Amino acid sequence: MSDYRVRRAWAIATAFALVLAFVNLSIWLAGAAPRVVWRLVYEGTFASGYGMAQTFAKATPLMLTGMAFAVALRGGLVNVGVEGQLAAGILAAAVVGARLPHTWPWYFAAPVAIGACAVAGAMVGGTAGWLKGRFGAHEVITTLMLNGLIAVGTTWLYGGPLRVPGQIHTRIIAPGARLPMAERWLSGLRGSALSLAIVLAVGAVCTAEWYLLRTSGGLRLRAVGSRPEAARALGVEPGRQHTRTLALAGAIAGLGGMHYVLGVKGYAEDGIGSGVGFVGIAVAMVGLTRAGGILLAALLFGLLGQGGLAVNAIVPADTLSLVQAASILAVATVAGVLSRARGAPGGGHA
Amino acid sequence: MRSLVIFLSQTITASVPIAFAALGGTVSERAGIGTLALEGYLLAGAFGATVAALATGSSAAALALAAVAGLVLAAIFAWSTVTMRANAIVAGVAVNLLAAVGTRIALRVLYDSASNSPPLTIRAARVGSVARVALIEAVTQPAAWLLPIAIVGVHLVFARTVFGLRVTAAGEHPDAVRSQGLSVEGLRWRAVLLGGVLAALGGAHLALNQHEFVAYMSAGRGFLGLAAVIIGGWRPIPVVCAAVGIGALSALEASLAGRVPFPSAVLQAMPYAVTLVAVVGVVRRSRPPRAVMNDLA
Amino acid sequence: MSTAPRSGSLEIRGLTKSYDGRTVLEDVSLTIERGRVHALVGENGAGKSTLIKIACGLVGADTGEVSVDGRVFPTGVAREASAHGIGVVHQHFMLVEPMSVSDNVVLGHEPRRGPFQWFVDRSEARSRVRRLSEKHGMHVDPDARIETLGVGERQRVELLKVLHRGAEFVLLDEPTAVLSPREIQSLLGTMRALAATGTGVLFVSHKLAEVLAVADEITVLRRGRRVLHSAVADTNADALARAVVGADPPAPAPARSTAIGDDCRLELRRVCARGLRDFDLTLRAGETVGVAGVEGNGQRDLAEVIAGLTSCESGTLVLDGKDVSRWSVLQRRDAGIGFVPEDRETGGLLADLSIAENLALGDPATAGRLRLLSPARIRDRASIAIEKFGVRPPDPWAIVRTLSGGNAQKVLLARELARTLRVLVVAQPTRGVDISASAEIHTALREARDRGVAALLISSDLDELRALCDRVIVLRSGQIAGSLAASDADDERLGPLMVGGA
Repeated sequence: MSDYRVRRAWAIATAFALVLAFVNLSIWLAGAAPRVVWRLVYEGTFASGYGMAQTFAKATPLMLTGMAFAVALRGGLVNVGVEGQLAAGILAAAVVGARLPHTWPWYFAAPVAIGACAVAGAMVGGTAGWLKGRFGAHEVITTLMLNGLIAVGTTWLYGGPLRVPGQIHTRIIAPGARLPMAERWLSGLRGSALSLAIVLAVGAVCTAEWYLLRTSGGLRLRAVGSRPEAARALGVEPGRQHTRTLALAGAIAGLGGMHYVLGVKGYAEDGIGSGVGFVGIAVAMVGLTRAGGILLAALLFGLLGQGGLAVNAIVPADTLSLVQAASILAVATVAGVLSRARGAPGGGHA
Repeated sequence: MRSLVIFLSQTITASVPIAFAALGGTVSERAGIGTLALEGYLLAGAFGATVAALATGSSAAALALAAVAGLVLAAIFAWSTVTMRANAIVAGVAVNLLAAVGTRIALRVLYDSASNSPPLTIRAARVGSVARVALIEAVTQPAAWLLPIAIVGVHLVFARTVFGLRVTAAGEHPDAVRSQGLSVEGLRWRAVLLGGVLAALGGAHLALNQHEFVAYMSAGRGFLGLAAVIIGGWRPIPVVCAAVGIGALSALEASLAGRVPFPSAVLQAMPYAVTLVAVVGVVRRSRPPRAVMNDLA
Repeated sequence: MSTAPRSGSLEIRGLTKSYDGRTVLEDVSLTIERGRVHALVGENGAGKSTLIKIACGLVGADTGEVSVDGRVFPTGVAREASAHGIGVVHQHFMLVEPMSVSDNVVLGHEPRRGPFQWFVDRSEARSRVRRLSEKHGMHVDPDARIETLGVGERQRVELLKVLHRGAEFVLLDEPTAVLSPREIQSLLGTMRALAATGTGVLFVSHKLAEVLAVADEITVLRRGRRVLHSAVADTNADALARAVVGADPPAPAPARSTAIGDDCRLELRRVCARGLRDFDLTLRAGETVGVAGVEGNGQRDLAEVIAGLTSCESGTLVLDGKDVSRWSVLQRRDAGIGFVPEDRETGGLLADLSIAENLALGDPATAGRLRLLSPARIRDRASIAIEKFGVRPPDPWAIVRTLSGGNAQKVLLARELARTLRVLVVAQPTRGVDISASAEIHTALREARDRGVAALLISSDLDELRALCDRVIVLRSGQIAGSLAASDADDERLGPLMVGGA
């Protein structure tokens, strides 16, 4: 086990190095000096309390969508629908959060709201999983179509029925459901988006990893991800497992609603969390689908995001997205080379 | 009658990009490389067409540059998935992101705008009422009448040519191809490149028809194209039929908007919903090329 | 091709090959002459397949050379080998299922027509296939799709592929392993006919009777070395057997130490399921029943219907007196049914997980319910099994994908034998497994039998069936064509049952 883990750690380190290399490359392409840019990035992130907080805040939804993709991948499914599952979680948080009685204390309101996020995401993911299990429908297409449906639906809801008159967003949620913002304890973090959500998110990611490695449920998930036919011979029905796997993945992605709605904003609006799903795929790949790597990768991408804002004058923010895209490609390529060297046919994520 | 004409022109407008993307996807998948990169190809093609059209005003140049853009993006995708054996889905997502952001950056650099390019003017026919202009324009657009040629071409390639035979074999049983001394990688490269060019032409139609390039303008059509590939069972002609069907559904929104008792969001959702049902319903009957199945599952 | 057989040969000299420190071939030399059939004989793991792979260029040799008519060419380059007229019919066919026979045969060397010679000339392809098949007495419909063909026909298509490419030396790797006795005779005839047209034939097999019937000369490999080379006329079955095994022929299987019980463990009553029709079968405690038959006659359906992977359309399945026909896979495993599927890579083991995790999921309680897994406990359980079955490397966390065929098979068996079984269904337990591991697997199966487990052994290795079973049934078209005591189950009696009539 140790040899495998060591190799995996090295692989994650390589992936990180690749991402950083791409950042440097794009800085250079933009005609700026890496040293200057990195200095600015440092100042914008680690050097100030606000910068740090923003970095962590950006990492919060990323670690959730990343883990969602990774869990599904280890279960043998390509969950490109994380975007839609996150959106469903955000919607649920906004709707349920707003409907909760304002008199409810936090230990009633918050769990209900958080649960709503997870349930909404689970329903979306579970639907795709069920379609795969029952009909064999390919999850790439079904989750993509669900993304589209949810996008259309939320745009209409946020702009129409759920809109607060005179505003462009939904009703503010009950105070009991609001997660405390970090700035409450550390005034240096004022104005940042960091909230308790990050603690909960890290907890969720670690719990998911523990579930995968230390419970029979997680073992079954990975078994189906490895060889569905063999799993069937062991008594684990792949069809039903697919539903469970994607429901779990969806729930994790849906928890992203904690950060946006229960945390920083207190409401939902159109365009919230857009793109985070797909970047989550990058996070999952750079982190090599393991919780430890994902947490680090989420932090890295959060850093790039916050740092990107700081250096916007010199290097346009879009370059950052370019970096993210190039990183996924680079990591996927490296993974391909690695698995080829080991003789595995493209799989082996379990 | 007038609304029928509008509906027809809207259908053509909507179907052509999806059909081209679907054709491109078919070629690539038949070779064994699953392709999620169609969105990226559409964007690349749209942008290429825009640049050429703005520079020269000629639709031929627009199509040519679109094809080149698709070729370049497809080459990146092919290198990653065929040569380096990366997971095709993940690479596809990456290529889409690359194209989306790359075109936005280029947009800013070339035209100093965050979202739109300057409007394109391509010679349009000036006949009769506005509705008919739209229809005729949609039909006479070069990318539009290239589509039937492309359909026939792709069909012939797979049904009759040596290349088509070898590519099909590579998608089903790459070892069989390798054991005959042929290069599976070479075949797949060519298939992916061809696929990229085809899809990019769809993007060209998109831009030329809308008379501008807008950031992220592909708006999910690439994924709808992939759905058409699955619904059509990886055979060129049924695939295009599926694409046209999906296009018709998208056209519903444009032509019925504001005239139905329910919110237009329902119409917007139609393509996704119906496609979802179709993909699920069709799965029993069709089976993807073996090599694609192994890669995805 | 000229009508008179050319002289000249395919010469292999001093071939050596090692994998990961293990020497698979050591200084092996072999000559295949045009117009003669040369047989290559040896046990599983002797190096025969590796030799073929080197000769046809799929794999490179560490030392040694391959030459045709005196012209040496580099090993490891498939193009070179095929350019020099070497063609191989592998054990695992490489045919494109949805395509037609003629498309498969001409793939890569298609007759062309049309502008720029882009199109495939299908009518020419068809007539080529017809001509070739008539010339060599192999009948196949050029327009048939591969997915509709049986094993023997597919093999013919592979042979046609090789001949279409103009092969002057045809190497066949264990071609008879998957054929019925009658198809085997037909193939042997084809080989002689091929030789008569001037083609050099290398025929790899571990079945001495076939080899003696068809070959002109024989080479025996044992553990990677050439231990015998002789003209067929100068040798006999005993000498060959001794050379193959390296000592006197192995002692006959040890006689049973326990008796078959009276109680009826498993009963199939008029079961209809997929390929099975009105199937009746009874297994007693401690009894091992072998299942012989040409592949595709219901063996897999029988195994899967007992394991619960296929449901009974009608009829009943009774385990220890209980009707389990509607029970799920998990319930059956819990009740004591064990299953070792024939395809260990995809249907048996979870290749990306560790040995310990594979073994853990073998426990129906783990597979069925949500429970915490303690790494220490599953590791310890795994260590016990690893030691008992001699799995190498003895690391409970080793990923199964990295294990050799023999060790992987042992893990699979250990998984099933780790719990108290009532019935064990095991298919092809030693396919692709080297001799020493096979012996260990046989020992484990005998031990299970002595503990009272009722076993159903499906195997295409008739020797294995005779060695381990008490009686052998033959499946044909989903029904039992005949049943013989193991001592009576020789090839002459089994053959007609497997094929029908004759």
